Amino acid sequence: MREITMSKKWISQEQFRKRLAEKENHLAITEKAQKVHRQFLSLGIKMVKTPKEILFPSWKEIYRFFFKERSWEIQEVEEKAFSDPTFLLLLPCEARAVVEVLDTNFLREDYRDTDYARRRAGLKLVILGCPTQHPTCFCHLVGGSPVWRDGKSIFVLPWKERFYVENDETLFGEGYPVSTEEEREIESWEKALLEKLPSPLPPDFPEKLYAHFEDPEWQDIAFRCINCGACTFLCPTCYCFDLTVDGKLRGSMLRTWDSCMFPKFTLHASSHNPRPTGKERVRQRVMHKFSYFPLREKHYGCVGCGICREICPVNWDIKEAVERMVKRIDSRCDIN
Amino acid sequence: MVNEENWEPKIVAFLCHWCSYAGADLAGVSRIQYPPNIRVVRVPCSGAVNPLYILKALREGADGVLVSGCHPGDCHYLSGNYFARRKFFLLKELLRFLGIEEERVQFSWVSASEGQRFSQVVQEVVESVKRIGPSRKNIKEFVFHV
Amino acid sequence: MYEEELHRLSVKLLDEVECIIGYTSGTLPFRSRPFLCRKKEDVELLTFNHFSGSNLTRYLLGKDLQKKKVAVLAKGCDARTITVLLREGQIKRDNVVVVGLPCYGMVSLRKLEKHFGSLRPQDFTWHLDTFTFQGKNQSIGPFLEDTCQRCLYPNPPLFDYLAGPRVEYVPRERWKEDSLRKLEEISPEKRWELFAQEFQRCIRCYACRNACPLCYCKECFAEAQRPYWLSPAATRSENLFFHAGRALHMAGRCVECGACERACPLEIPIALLPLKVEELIREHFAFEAGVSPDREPPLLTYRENDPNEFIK
Repeated sequence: MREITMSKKWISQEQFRKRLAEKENHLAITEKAQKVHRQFLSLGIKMVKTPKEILFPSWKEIYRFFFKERSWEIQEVEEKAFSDPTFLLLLPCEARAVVEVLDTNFLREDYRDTDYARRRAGLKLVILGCPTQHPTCFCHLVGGSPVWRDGKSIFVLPWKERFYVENDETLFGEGYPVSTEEEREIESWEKALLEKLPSPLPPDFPEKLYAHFEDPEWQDIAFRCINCGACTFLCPTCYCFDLTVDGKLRGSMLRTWDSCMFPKFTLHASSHNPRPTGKERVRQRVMHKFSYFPLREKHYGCVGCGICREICPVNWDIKEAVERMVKRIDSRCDIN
Repeated sequence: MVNEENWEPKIVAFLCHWCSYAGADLAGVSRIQYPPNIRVVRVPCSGAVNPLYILKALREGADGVLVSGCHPGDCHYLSGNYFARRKFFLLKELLRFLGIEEERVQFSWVSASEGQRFSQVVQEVVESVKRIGPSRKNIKEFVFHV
Repeated sequence: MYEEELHRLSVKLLDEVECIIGYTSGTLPFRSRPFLCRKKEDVELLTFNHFSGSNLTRYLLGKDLQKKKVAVLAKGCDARTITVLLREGQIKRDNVVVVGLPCYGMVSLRKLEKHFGSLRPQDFTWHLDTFTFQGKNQSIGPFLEDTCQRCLYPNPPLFDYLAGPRVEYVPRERWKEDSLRKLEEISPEKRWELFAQEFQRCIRCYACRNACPLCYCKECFAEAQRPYWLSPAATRSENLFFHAGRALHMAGRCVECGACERACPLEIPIALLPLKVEELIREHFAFEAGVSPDREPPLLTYRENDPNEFIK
């Protein structure tokens, strides 16, 4: 009978660096992980902006078509040998984005995206626990934590002079066993950390937010947004895509990232657009992540990484928008 | 993609209807031989050539683009080629600034009576593009050959 | 920079206009954000500092603000935008009150970080053309954004009220740093390598285009299906097409404010293309966008002696 306990071990600084250097070509790290763990900068690991760069690339040829001898021919696009990294170092928020949002969307019971499934199967997540909070972070608000892990991925926590590693068979090699006393020390530190975090959003927030669809506050909230796609493209959870036919008698079907902030996102063939102005689109973004998605899937569509807040050209702030709506809901104003 | 020894450049030529297209026609009627690498697109005036057409031709796989119009002062629409001259100057300098080879996009003034000269211009353009090789910088990444 | 004067002026202005489009401090360290000030109590929230980089005239084009009388805070470059927008018939002069902001330049967080390491707001005190870091005085010159280092119009050429004292120098002459000149000095192959790398990184989020007040087309050529110019795929050659096409659409209209470059989430020096086109126009067609409202735009006119040597 296999024991279901996770393997735990200590890895020294030198072994950590040595193993990462050995696996250089198979590693990648997200930019946010590198910002939080500044000591990894010197390791020179290939950097990606979001996990999506590996799992759900920004463009892909789905198939090729050409017109030959009065009929259409469809050609599969040969997949290049999977040369993407096999280990991705990322933060708990980004890992939650992959496991709870991207996987939920692309690996459904009724339909599995074959490309995503192949890439996901070939990728092992290495979750780096956060020792400090970055000014942009708000993972606690959406049910996350600086030390979240899913029990299947490798988990690494920098602890004093060493690294505490969970669930690793392949990357770091043999380590030192963790004594029960040390285990308890780490557990109590984690518990204290979680207790100090501010409280998350109230459990009925998705439903209450749904009822505030017509709240005039949205006009104010949407003011400064310039409707570019920067937030959606760099968001680790956003997964919308567009299909484009490139070419007339010979060309490809392309799948590219799409953004709900673009005006043409909901443009119908009849030329009616249900989200004609920025206000509707901004409202949609917040409602999707904090109302529609959680009502369907039971966890938020936002993981609180704050990347959108940081790169937004006009500092439009999703956390601020949510907090404003929390206030509106709390003031129990009746919209209808 | 097309890296054979006997690679022939594909050049898209935008010719203004009243002068350059007529000049090309004259070259044809006079049986003047010139390289068959150009594909002609007839436009009403060189001023009607949107710089985006040139970029689009390069994107679709043209190894070179030639735009030819009436001599300054002779435009059928009086000033179309004057405006074109300014636009083409900006496009050419911008492409040079980006590091794209200068021979990729070329311009000429060829009148309706200059059949011989048109064939010379085409000769020069094809030779210069042959020297710099197939287009790699502007061509779209998902081009494929059947 | 001169915020008290700005507040005094704004309180008076709110008698005349429905709202003031200005800047306020952001929710993250060092950030500044556009702000719609409607009430006199909120005037205290208006700020103007070395991080107020957005071009606010962009908000004048919004449908709801077009019908009202609004005041907009405009730096030198932003005021030039207003002249261009007026000329193109996008805004009505009677509906807009321009509060001119003489500007000492926008500071680049990237350059600050490169020099000082991790930044804390409390270590800095900002003056006009200098700042103090942990007690030591420094010139802002080396830390200004590339567009601001080569600025020629720190004082707004168009304004209804001036919120502060004029800048006494021309930044381009004082700082003598020109990112465009530097690029022109290296070989074309090297330049291509640099640009190819940057175009490879671009994700086509259109933050640059949307931050620009002069990109107001209902449907951008990059997203058009009829005619179809380019795909949404963010590949190197598609991005090159988009940015070259946009730079040419800005020819004779770009006011060199740098909002596009500041908006880019990947810090790509995307302003270099429209800046190059504007330098060409300045040099060969003797025209600067947004400075002389009566001059004919450069692509709507011509001269007999325009450059011709490049044409066979």
